This record gives sequence, C-alpha cells and structure tokens, in this order.
Amino acid sequence: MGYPDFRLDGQVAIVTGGSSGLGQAGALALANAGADVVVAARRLPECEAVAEQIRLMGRRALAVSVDVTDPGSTRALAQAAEEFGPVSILFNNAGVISPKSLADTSAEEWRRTLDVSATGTFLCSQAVAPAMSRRGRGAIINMGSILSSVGMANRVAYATAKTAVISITRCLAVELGPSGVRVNAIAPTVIVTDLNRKLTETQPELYRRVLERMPLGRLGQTDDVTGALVFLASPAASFITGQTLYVDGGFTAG
Amino acid sequence: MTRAGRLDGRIALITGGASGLGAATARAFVREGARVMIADIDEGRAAELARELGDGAAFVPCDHTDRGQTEAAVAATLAAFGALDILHNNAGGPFAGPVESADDAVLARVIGVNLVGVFKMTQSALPALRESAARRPHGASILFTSSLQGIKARPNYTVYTASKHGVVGLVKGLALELAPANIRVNAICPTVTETPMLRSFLPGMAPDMDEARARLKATIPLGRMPEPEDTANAALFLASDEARMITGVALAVDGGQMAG
Repeated sequence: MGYPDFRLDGQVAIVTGGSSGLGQAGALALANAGADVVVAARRLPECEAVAEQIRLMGRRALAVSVDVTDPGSTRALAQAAEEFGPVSILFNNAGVISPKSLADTSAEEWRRTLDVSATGTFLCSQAVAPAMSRRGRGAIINMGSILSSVGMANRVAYATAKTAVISITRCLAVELGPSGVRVNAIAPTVIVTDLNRKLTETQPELYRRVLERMPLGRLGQTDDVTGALVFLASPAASFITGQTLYVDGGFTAG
Repeated sequence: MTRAGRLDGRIALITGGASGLGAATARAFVREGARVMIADIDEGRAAELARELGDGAAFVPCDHTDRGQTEAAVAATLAAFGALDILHNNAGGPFAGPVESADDAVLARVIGVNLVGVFKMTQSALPALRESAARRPHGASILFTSSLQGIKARPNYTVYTASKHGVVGLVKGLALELAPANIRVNAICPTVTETPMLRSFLPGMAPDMDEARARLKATIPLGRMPEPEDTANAALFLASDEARMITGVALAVDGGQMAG
C-alpha cells in the first residue's frame, strides 16, 4: 500500500566534511541505506578513501575537494554532483571548532568558525537546492549541536555558529517547503570520533562536565547519530521539516 | 527476501490503538516485527484491528483514565506476550471552543484524558518497562502522542493546548528520571492529521470543514495535510535502536508549521 520506507535506494547524497568523523560515518550510513554518495571535503585523498569504502559496499561514490566557504567552490561541487547523478540529499556537516574563551578567541578564529558552519551551510544549500526544487524533491540535513540550544564556557564562536545553523534550517524549511524540499537539523551531544577519541581517554576531565550532565550516562558514538540522519533523509520523514532533532541522551531536556 | 525488522522481538502497548494515529502505528510496529497490544475504549474496533494484524497483535479494552484498567492493560500484555518493551501513550481527546465554553466537565475530561490518564498509564507500565530495560537486550522506551499544540498555541484550543504542553513537560521529566534505568521517553507532535478526531478539531478554525482544511493547508510549508503513516514512521524511528541516543525530545511532524 505504498508505505513509505526508511531506504534511500536510487538517491544521490552529498556529504560535506565527509572525509572523517561524523561526515564519514554519515556518508557510510547513507550508502548503507542505498544512496550513492558524493564525498566532499577539503582534502581530496581522504575523500577518495571514504569513496572507496562506499564503492566496496556496492554503491557508487564520487570524491570532490571543496571549500564550503567559497561560493565558486560550492557551485563547482553542486555541478560535479549533478553530473554524477540527480542530488536529492545534502548533509551539511562541515564544521570547525575553536574551544577558546572569550578573551582568547581572535577575530579571525571567530570569523572562520562562523564561516565554515554557517556560511558553508548557506552556500552549499544555495548551490544544491535549485536542482532539488526543480525536481520537487530533496532533503537537506544540517549539523547542529547541543550548543544550538544551551551555552557553554569556551565555546562562544562554535555555539554561535551552530545556533545560526538552526536559523538557516527554519528559514529554508519555510522557503523551500512549497517546492518539496525538506530541511532539518540534527543536534548531537559530544560524539566520540577519531578526532577526539584520544582526548576523551587521556584528558577525561575535559569531558567530565558534559558526561555528568548526560542523563543516559555516556558520550555519543557516531552510530548513535547516523540513524537520525538516515531517518530525516528518508521518505519515512516526508512530513518532517524545519525541525532540529536533538541526539543528546537527554542533555537539553534538563 | 527476508529483512530484519526495526522492532524485531519487541512488545508494545499502544493506547488509542484501534483507530487514527494509534492504528497506523500498530500496523507499522507489527510490520517491523513487534508484537502489539491494542488498548482502546472501542473494543469492537480494537478486536477488528487485532484480527487484521494476526499473530502479531492482541487487544484489550482500556479507558486509560481508570487506574484499574491501565493495570489490567499491562497485565494483559504480559499475559499475552510475556514482557513490555514499548509503551505508546497515544490515546487523547480533542476540544475546540473559546475559553469560556470549557466548563468543569470539559476541563475534567480534556485534562483527565490527555494528561492525568497518560500519567496513570505510565505509572502502571513502569514496573514492566524497568524489568525490560534491565533484562532484555534492546531496552525500553515510552512514546507520547502530544500535538503541535504541545509546543505552540492556537486560539480556541487553549485547554487542549495546555493539556498537550503538559505532556511535553511529562516527557522531559520522565526522560531525566528514567534515563539511569535506560528507558528513553519521547513525544511526537503531529499537526492536525486526517483521522476520526479531525471532525472534532477543525470546527475551531472555520465553520465549514473544507474551508478549515484549506486554511490549515495554507499554514503548512509542505502544502499538504499529514497522513497517519507520517506520525507512525516517527514513532517507529523513536522506538527503534536507531534512536538509542534520543530521549526527552518533542519531535514535530508538521510539514514545517513550527519553523515559520
């Protein structure tokens, strides 16, 4: 009876920041759900390595080098992706974190943090959405954070950037909804990836305060987040748009 | 081709499970491998749906505002299937009308059904849910059908809005309280959906049903009304392992109404 499913067979997804961490996990999860994936990040060899993993899963993959803060580069990404296949999923995952205090954050670091997360999400959406709108189908998933909703010391630039991402999500949901393009965000708690695994082991005190406030009593793993990504990308979420789905073990409920 | 279901081996109790969002969720849960106890005040419809769903379902008459009946619904689930892993507090009741029209009987009914009743149902199910979370591999979770009126208001739905905001408060409190036991608690907040409850809901917006539908659609960026399956899929996701890190959220299934 035409029940919508959680599969992404026949769809083409772009993942920015796709060469490592959550981006890599997201790219693999989208492929596992049936999508072909364009893996985009600054460093091409790392993108190619993830693309090769996806090809081994029996899906098609394309590696593209992109600077999400440069409109020429995001347009080139969108064009290369469209030549690869009709893009219906965009995972705006690229981001940088500068864990510094108000006093220690330079103007340059502030701008860079907002540029990659907020401007990058804006530019990639601007480059990719027109083709989605023309086809009347698309799902954009932006990467927020628990800091989209709460404050934290030494995170002023990152939290501001991640809050901007939620505003982009709401505005684009309203603007693109009539043309059939859904826009949502996932907002995870601290996720253990290759980038911070050593730190969580060698300097647990850095994460102690987050952990103490985690009702479910543990930090996140990449697999905890990819389920939400695939759900929001899939036809099963075809009436969900403009939402920020917190994947945070209850952090923001209390 | 056989495919692993998202809820293989789970046992769910769904209140208001015989029609509308509850029935769509019962069908989705059974399709994904769960066994479902359909609890509903309409015993005839509950029996009919249980027959349709076959071995994966059973039914129990249940008015969830009566503690004796909530206890009995849990006992019936344990007797039929041996455990309880997912409680879906879905039963609810509408009310549309200006604030002056909500007399004592209306207040008692709307708050009683939408808030006090789901609280009682949850209390009755907690021993079995704790047992499941402690002993069964996939843990336990509780879902609530709140409403878009659980997170935003609409004129002429004030009592309903208060009751459904209450549900979101219940969800956050329970999420924090039950996280140490590894029981996740989440709400689904659908906008007005094409269900039997719709007829009691739309007159608050416009006297004519078609006019009310058109007005509602105009406020939804995706430009259509939701189907019960849209909400059922959200319930399915939140009850599954894929949502294992998600607790205490109120997920709107609203076509973008909240965003704008």
